[in-house]
Amino acid sequence: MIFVTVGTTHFDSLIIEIDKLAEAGMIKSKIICQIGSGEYLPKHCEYFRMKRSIDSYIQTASLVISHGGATVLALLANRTKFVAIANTDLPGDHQTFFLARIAQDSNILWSRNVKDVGKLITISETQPPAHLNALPLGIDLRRTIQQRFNKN
Amino acid sequence: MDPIPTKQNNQTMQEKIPLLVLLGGGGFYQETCFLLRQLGDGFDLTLIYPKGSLKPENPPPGKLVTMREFSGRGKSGFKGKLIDALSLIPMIFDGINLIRATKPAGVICIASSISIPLLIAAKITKKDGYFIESITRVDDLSITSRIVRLLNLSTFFYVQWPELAKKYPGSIYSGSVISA
Repeated sequence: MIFVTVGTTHFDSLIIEIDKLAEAGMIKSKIICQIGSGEYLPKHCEYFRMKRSIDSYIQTASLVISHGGATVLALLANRTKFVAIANTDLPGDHQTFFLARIAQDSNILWSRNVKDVGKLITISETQPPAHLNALPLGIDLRRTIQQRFNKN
Repeated sequence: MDPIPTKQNNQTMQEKIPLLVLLGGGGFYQETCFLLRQLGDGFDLTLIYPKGSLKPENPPPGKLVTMREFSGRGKSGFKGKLIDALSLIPMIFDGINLIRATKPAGVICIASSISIPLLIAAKITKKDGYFIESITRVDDLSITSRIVRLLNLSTFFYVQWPELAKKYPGSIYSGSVISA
């Protein structure tokens, strides 16, 4: 199953592109889309707007196609296979900055062009899940808290 | 006065360090969960979530408590901002009450606007405040972070990208909540 998530807002251009790929038979797996507040209702995918948690969908999906928001963090942390598309339907280009920066320290598959999603899905089939090369902040925080606690 | 027995003092008694942690909503909640996983054991956590929000599903281990949030949400313009400003005072009192009840070694906040009253409460009660900017802020700080920094509300101000630490002297970069 391929799971598509757009977060709490809308990303109609991504859902439309996924629907087109499903119609053309380019994506053979079952597709479930979380469409948020989007107006476009896919015809070739199951869909829902919002759920309290999408964890179960993420855990059972063979691939997640995500907008470039905070969901990417969970996908990286859990080493889930995913493709990220920056949501340029929204004002500002915050997600592009975020994904571009993450890509410098990781091997994520991403684009700011929804037309690339088909190509990225194909690439993902032979790539391992992405991970971020960064030190864990919690280690330094733990040390600081312990030092200050013991001093007092 | 005898030292508090801790692992560092090579005594056998293990004392968990009490911490007050703001869970926040959405992506901030996720980031906080990742951070708490990195922090590991040895902490007695009290976890704050906004009153009026759904109780978190599968929260990290710890005691769950609520705190008021800004009442101006959903109201635009000057009226919304005025309501937010007025709701700051009861929120600070909520923070002070929580700190007095839990006696934490410190207060930890990731990015949420509720960090502001909570860190003010920490300052008033002379507790360490640890503020962490969201990992999604790569090239610049959020409005909340700017306020925390401008008013010097936190004892420690962390960012999660090295270029932000260079841009804002005094901020600390020592990694991110997502690690390899």
